[in-house]
Amino acid sequence: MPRIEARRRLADLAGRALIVVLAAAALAPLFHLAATVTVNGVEAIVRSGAGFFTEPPDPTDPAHPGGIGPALWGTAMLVTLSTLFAVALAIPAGVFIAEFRRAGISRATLLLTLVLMEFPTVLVGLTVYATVVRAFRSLGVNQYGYSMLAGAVALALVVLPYMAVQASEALRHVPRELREAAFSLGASRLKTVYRVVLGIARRGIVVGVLIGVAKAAGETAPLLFTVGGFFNTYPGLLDPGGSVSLLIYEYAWQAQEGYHVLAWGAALVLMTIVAGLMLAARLLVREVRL
Amino acid sequence: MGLLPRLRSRDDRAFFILHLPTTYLVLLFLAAMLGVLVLYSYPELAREGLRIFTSTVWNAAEGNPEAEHYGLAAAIYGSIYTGLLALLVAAPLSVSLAVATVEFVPRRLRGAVATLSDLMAATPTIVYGLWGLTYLAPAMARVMGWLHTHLGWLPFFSQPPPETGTMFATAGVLLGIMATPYAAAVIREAYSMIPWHLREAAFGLGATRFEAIRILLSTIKPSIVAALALAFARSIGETVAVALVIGNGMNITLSVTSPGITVASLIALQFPVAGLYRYMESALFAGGLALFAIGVVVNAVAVSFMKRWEEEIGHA
Repeated sequence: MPRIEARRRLADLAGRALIVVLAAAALAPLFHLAATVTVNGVEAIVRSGAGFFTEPPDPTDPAHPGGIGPALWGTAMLVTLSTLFAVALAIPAGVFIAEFRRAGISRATLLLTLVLMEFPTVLVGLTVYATVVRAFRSLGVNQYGYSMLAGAVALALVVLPYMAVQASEALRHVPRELREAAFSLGASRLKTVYRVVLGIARRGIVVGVLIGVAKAAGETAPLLFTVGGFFNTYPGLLDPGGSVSLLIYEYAWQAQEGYHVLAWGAALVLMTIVAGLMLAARLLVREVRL
Repeated sequence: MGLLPRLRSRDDRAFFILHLPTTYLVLLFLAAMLGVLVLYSYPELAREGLRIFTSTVWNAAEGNPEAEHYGLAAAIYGSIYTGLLALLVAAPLSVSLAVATVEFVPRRLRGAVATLSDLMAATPTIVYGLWGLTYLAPAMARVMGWLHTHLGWLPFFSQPPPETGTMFATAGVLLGIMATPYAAAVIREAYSMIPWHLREAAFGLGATRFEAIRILLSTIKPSIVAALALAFARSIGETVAVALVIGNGMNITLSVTSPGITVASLIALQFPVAGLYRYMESALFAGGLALFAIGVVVNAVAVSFMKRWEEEIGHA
């Protein structure tokens, strides 16, 4: 072992200590958040029992504040619909980006999609408000113009860029030999890509979709001006309604305890949904790119 | 390499044309967003001119549209200021977390730490908002109160913090906490992909562990910059979590202990009442327009750094 100067040894020790302390400081609030959501959330669910998942909220009675049934139903509806919309558009977009990756037009599409990936989602909400909600209002679909459909459209637009990029990444890594084999059997390009290449890349695509679903479940801003924020009745497709995320936002503002109990319970439900989806994605592939 | 791909057969051409609408779709989406924002902000833009981006007045007058005046300067300033505060928090934390996960966490625990950190990156921002309002804001009120008493001569702590703890500092710290696991995931990926021979070379020259880490970090600078730029982009676009903890004050000040506002949170906070006034909704769409411009620039910068890093890996 060569001798290391005391000064460098000290700097090494201090530097390593600093990294460990800062890493611990990064994790500490995350642990605290996970712990408080669990403790407060479990307490909320215990207060209301199984009804927490089905009943409408009753925040006037903190001892038994009812549940988040309609909001949970709303989230399920919004996530299912938006995933259907987004997947139907994201896969052809991903195919386009991956198949013509050398062409300028496809590189430009990829760049725009990447820019949209972390774009402020509140702008998507404004756009859908100005188009779908305003149109529904003037058409008299319902008295407010807000609808679950508008919310699903907004969420689909939010997750679409992410799913398209993930799909193109998954398709890009399919070995060339497999396409050549399909072509040599006389398959058309359409058949080759959608039957062979897509089939091999399906794991990566499914992971992208799962993370997209998790994103959609947690998004709040695109729903602020689109679904209306009603948490007491189970909404239909063209009715105004709410979601679990929106319920947390609206109830966090309220002063009474009952609202906060419900918000924490809703936060636990939301975190459980998102964690479940993320773990499912992680089981499919080891490294998940966010 | 041209704009269009080389299409060798009719089959190729049909395939290309069939998929062309997806490009239009992305373009249409961006264009629709921009078009809607311009169209809806026009009434107020025409009335106030560019003053709307430089004034801090937010004067809603019910039943008297002539007296309504809206300025977005405070909100635009607040978006950038809280974004920078978030970077100040997230930069050291995320780099340390990424390095510590790869270097110091025992191999058996590494997967668990990485999973936990990624889970927190995926946790909905509204959950952070609820936590920030309930636990972070009161804690920040105490910390900032202390800083104000002892370091009040600094412009950053010149104002007494509000009792609720909702202020610039709380929003910045919350955004930083939210951005840390996300940025750490990007940096960790880059750091674990550094070729092993670089590490061996550093130790071979007699570098200490910390010196080696610094050398290795210097090789992934573009990815660190990209991660932080993405974190900044996320912070600027964050709406509900910020709305809950920023305090809703139209202030342009260096003081982090003052209540503030950002463009996204202004839109979220004022939209529910905008229907009562003639021009407020239009003013909020003008805010959306400003956010659109900032969002395009910041995201384009982040993406270009990301691309540079990917290319460097490709050459290595």
